[in-house]
Amino acid sequence: MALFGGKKSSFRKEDFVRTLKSGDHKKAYEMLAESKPEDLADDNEVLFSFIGLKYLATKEMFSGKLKVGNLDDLEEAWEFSGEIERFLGLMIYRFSLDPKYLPRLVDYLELLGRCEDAIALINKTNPKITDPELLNKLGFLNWELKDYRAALDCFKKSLVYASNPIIYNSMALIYNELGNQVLAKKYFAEGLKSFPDDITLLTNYGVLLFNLGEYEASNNIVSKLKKYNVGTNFLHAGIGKILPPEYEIDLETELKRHPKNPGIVLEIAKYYLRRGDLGKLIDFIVAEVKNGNDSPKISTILSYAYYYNFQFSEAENTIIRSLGKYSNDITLLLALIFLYIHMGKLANVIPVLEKIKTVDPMYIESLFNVAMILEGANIFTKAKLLYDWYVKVSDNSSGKFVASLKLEIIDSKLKVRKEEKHNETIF
Amino acid sequence: MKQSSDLKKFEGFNSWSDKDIETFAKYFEEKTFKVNEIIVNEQSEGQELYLLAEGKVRVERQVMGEDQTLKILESGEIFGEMSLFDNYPRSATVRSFENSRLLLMNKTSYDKLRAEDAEVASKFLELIIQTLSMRLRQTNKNLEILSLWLI
Repeated sequence: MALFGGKKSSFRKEDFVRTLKSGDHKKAYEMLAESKPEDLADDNEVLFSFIGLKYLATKEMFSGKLKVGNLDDLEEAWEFSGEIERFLGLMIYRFSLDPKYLPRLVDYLELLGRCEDAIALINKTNPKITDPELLNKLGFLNWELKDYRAALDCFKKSLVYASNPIIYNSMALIYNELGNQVLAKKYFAEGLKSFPDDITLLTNYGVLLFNLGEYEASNNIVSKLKKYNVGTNFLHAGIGKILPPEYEIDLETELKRHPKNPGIVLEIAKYYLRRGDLGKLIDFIVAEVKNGNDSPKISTILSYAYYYNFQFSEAENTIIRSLGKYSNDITLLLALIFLYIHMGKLANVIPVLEKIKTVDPMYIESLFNVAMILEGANIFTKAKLLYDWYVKVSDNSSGKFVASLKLEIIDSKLKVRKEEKHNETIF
Repeated sequence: MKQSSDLKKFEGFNSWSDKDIETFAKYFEEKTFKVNEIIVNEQSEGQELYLLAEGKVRVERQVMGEDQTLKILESGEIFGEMSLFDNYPRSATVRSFENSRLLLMNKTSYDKLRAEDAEVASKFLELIIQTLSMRLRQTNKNLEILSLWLI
């Protein structure tokens, strides 16, 4: 039995962990409320849970002079443990030592549904924001709080510093949500001018045009999307709305024909996703998971449903929680990368790749191979991203050498492309 | 025999007996290549399999008129195995990246091995299947990574 803190006579770690896992933050915090971080320094798990819980209860950041070693090891071990409060504590502590941890800290506050706190923290620590990554983060947080004006303001500012398809897409979706389809179309079109092959922009623009009755224009986009095999590999909720009738299935007959099991649940979930019935899909999976029909693939589909329904923290949360149960599942880890890519949280990808490397290093080699495919298709920015990840994560020294060379080559090609564009503008 | 001591260094031969390795080694010949020397040429005919005993080689391919490095192979790796079984031209150029020593087996030697020692030939085929299946698995994983942008 472990004893800690000011209430040495009554504290039991087992009780604390059980309370924490039950989600009762208040009670868990009260068990240690009279403690000081120094009293808990013997046990990192309790210490960082306490720092996280203290913030959640009092909004008080850590400001002591405590020294903890091996922070990188702790981060690696805890990132996908599902213990979000503990990880939040670690991020708060790391942020107290180095401000570069702000974006990750903000991510975890968002994950815990503390969007207001995350916004306040960003504004407090950065009175005048010019970093597009932080502006985007603020934009997404405001969007989640349905403060559309503030979200649009952040996204507009961000586009001044860096062009980004996710931001064009987000602005168009916000205008669509506000019922202003004219501006929604404008931002999709502007985004596609800079990123003509962006799947998300194309898909959402296609759906908007379809909803506006502009069928010919919508069909043209569908034809372009078919090149990418959208709707057959992983199923996209948006494109599902404009899929031809052969994708229909008789759901009631299917349900009667097969007793419920995770395989059938998955098929039905995929069907809902394909049709774009996100509300039904979410209700259906949540109920089935409660019935015990749980699997990493089902969590992945649920996460995609949340994502396409613009419930970004729920999407991320679903995967992180499921990783707490199935920590080595590649489907979940890849889904997390998908979310981070499409939510613009690129800095979060590296730790996931590090985890994937321990499960199946062949996926790391795939980063290099896919980068080559994208480079060959002149999709330089994405190729660059993959080579960069490969260099950071791979253990293959020859491969890293080649990838570094390729990064230099791509940089020079992008420079030439930029100069050509500049000259075009001049002439 | 030098070839057999080289073969013992390859991971794929770990489970082979010394006798089988000795037998198998007889069907290989050794070649050395200086830095930048071309070992096989993209689109050329050729029916040899190579085992890289020492050094490093660079695998290149012409993409949209440019030579792109696909990979650097290190000692202990196999390449050119597909050409023993199909008649298609080489899919990439392989050039010596460092002074390198390679063991090669051509189609005639492979046919001879099959005729003279079916058991060793079948073990060798198993090794080739393992190599190809690893490459197929890698391709499947490539598709999964690629689809991160396509869903």
